[in-house]
Amino acid sequence: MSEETLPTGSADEPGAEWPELPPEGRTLAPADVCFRREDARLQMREGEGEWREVSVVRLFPLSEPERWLAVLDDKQADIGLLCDLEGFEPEQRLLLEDELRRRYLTPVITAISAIRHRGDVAEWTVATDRGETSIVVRNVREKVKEPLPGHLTIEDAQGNRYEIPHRAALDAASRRLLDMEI
Amino acid sequence: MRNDAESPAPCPPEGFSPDEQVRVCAQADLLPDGRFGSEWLVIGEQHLWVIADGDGATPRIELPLDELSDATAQTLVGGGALEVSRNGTHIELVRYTNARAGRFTTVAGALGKWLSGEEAEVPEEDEKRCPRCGLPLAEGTKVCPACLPRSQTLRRLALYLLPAWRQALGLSLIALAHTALGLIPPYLQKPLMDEVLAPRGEPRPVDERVRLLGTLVLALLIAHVLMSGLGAARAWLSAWLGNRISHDIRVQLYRHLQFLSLGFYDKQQMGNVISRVNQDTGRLQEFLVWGSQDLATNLLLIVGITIVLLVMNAKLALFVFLPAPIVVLLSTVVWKRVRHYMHRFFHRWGRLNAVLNETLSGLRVTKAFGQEPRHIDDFSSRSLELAISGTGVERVWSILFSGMSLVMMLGTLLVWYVGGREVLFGPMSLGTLVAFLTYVGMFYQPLRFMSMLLNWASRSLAAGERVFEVLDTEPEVAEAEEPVAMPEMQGRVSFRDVSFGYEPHRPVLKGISCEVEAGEMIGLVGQSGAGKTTTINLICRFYDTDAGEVLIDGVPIRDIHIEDLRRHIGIVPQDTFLFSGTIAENIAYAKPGATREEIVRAARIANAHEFIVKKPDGYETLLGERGQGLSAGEQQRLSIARAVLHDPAILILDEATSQVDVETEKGIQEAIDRLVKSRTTFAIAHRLATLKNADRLFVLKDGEIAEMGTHDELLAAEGEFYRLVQTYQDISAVSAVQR
Repeated sequence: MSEETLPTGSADEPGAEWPELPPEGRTLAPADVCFRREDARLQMREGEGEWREVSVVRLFPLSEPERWLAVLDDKQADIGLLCDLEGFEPEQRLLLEDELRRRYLTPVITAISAIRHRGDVAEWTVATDRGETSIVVRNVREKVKEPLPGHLTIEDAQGNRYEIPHRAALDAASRRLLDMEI
Repeated sequence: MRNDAESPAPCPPEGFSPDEQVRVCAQADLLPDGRFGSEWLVIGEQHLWVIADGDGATPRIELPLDELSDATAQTLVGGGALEVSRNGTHIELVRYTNARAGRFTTVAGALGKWLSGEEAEVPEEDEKRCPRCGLPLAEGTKVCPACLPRSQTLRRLALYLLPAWRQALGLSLIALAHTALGLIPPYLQKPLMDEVLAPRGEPRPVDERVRLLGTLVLALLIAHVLMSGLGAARAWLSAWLGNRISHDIRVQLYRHLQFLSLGFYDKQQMGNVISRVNQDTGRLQEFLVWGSQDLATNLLLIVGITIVLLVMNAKLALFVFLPAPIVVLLSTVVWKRVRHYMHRFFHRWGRLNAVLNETLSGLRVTKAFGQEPRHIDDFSSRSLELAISGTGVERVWSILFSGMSLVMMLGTLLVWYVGGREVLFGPMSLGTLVAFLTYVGMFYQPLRFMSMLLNWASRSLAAGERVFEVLDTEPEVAEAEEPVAMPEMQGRVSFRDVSFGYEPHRPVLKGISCEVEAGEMIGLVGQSGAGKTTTINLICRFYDTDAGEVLIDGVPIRDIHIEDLRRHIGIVPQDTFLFSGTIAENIAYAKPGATREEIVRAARIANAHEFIVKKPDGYETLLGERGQGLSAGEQQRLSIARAVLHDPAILILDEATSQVDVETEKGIQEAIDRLVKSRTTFAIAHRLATLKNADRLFVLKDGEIAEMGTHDELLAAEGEFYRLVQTYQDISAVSAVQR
């Protein structure tokens, strides 16, 4: 591996009492890396190195969607960490945000207009950041989870996940519908 | 809007008419920018197209197949994207959510084969939606809970009554008689008032009135005695019936669960299955025992009293009915709220239980990291939540009850006033009014419970539906129509081009072929995920192959009588599972009638005897749940003893020595060496040294047999096996140093 020749870590490196990190756990500073899109794939190079295909994943997709991002190579092996999208050039940042939007197909519910019950299933008519849709939830009490305080995730009957990041930020009507449900 | 299957869109979409034969068409549910919307992927003989919604004439993408290679279905979070390569660059064709991921994975597989010039079939899409209402169906069922008519569930429940139809009939008659009898006492109040206590006009002689009083009181007494008797009989009989029915359902459900294939349990969460047996049958029982008779008698009472009131005084009766709609409406509205609060209450109760269970089971870890205060805080805050929502339930209840009592009292007061005027100025007698008022009290009582009972009934029906949903699931691995009996088995195993995946579109084994002679010992090696355990699952016929055949002694495994098959296959699993009971019982698990001699012999062969005799209770040492009280090595040796006693023709060792130290492993290895003699054995092991005695090794890689041969042959070939051994030796060197 060629990592040894590359700059390892930045000021974010934790204190001296920690055991030494393996080279893969590096933090990638915005100044050291460059991204570009080739066809359907995102590519990255470090310094003047080779372009290689990468994917960007969220380490804390619920609480930190824009920070703590891991860059993986085409074999899903860890290359390094992007601590924050702040600090990237606007055009680079757009590219990364676009890649995240591409990978995370989890619609965010912005409003609930109706919840209809049919037997054991509930049909929710909702507005999301990806457009209007209706989702069918079976066994609501188990499929609606609150992984973080106030942050709800809803899994529909087909295995899709929807999010309500701030329950309190929904409009009153949506909140009332939601309150009756869970 | 996403396209719901309520009106399946034509595929390929209208307006698009290619000049060539269309091989497959699939509808995606996301647009290129990730918004909801429809696009179609159409694959023809020479081209593929992606067509946007409403624009059939000009495809968004048109590509000639001969310039493309590598079709892959990229897995993204919450969905995926289908990509192809063209001159080394990747082109994203369509994007889709999880709802369509299965379909596109299949399509990608077929497209990949077409691009490399192979033949491929794309099966018709599974109908995963209810044809009537378009709701997605639960995995593994064809019954849509929303469309299932309630009457059908009721009819099925009623079928359980058939064996006890005499009792059921008796119960209905008793309930009818009891209700009818309940209507008599108030009616007797009328002559009591009008003829005896406060007669109008010319009173009868006193001694006649006294006699009448005696007669009436006696009649009342008889009525009440009969009512008590009938009431007790009714309660007893309905409890008997309800318990009997729910027992039948529970046992039937459990039997069905025992015979369902493992595939069913892969798709269902075990907690869900357990709650069906526990809660759903419990809920059914509760309703069958109590709810159904309450519902029936209340209905009867309401009808009966309505008739009596109308007969007694139609005008006054109307004043009684006046508040009735309000009572019904109010109780329906309020009940909804109560139900919501109650659900929340029970949900929180369940969560508190879960926290309790988890934290106490993990107490060792909690103590080790000193996190007790955190769990106490967590528990306390959840307990407080429960307390708050419990108060909420009571608050709503109390408001409901007070409000309803008030409304009902208004009705009663109305009757007092209007009826009182009738008595003063009209033809009505005091007795009629008193009897009337008693009936009014009896009338409102059931009315306010009606909506609650109806709700209860509908929830119980839903529980019944869930139970029937499981009962209607057919075992995937089913007995052949004409099973081949196999009293003896040689143990010759053949795989013929076997492919299999737990999800059909994700193959784990890809075209495995091999022949294993009777008595041979085969070692299965390969990285995790290579398909070793899956191979074993197919030999045991826990699952059926998707393509190809597994044969034992030349007979396809699907045709072998399942009981015979299982009798001749023994398995020492990776996770030993011991049931609570004595050590002897656990060894004799597969052969319940085994003699003590056999048990001890099996334990000796398995090198288990020596540790068993050290226990104060010897072979009758009681084991807790999951073999509590034994070390991992001891459990594994018991598991081997179990297989020894089972004496199978085909033995399967799935990582039988994975959880023990080197010293113990030696003992177990000895036991295994004794066990494998004269049987066909398949052994999986990560410690390759364990497989030294194997006649042949199969090296699996990505669902295919990469290499096949003896230990020495494979080492000499310096292939995949050689590489594995190298890695293994590196690791053992490291661990030797650390030790």
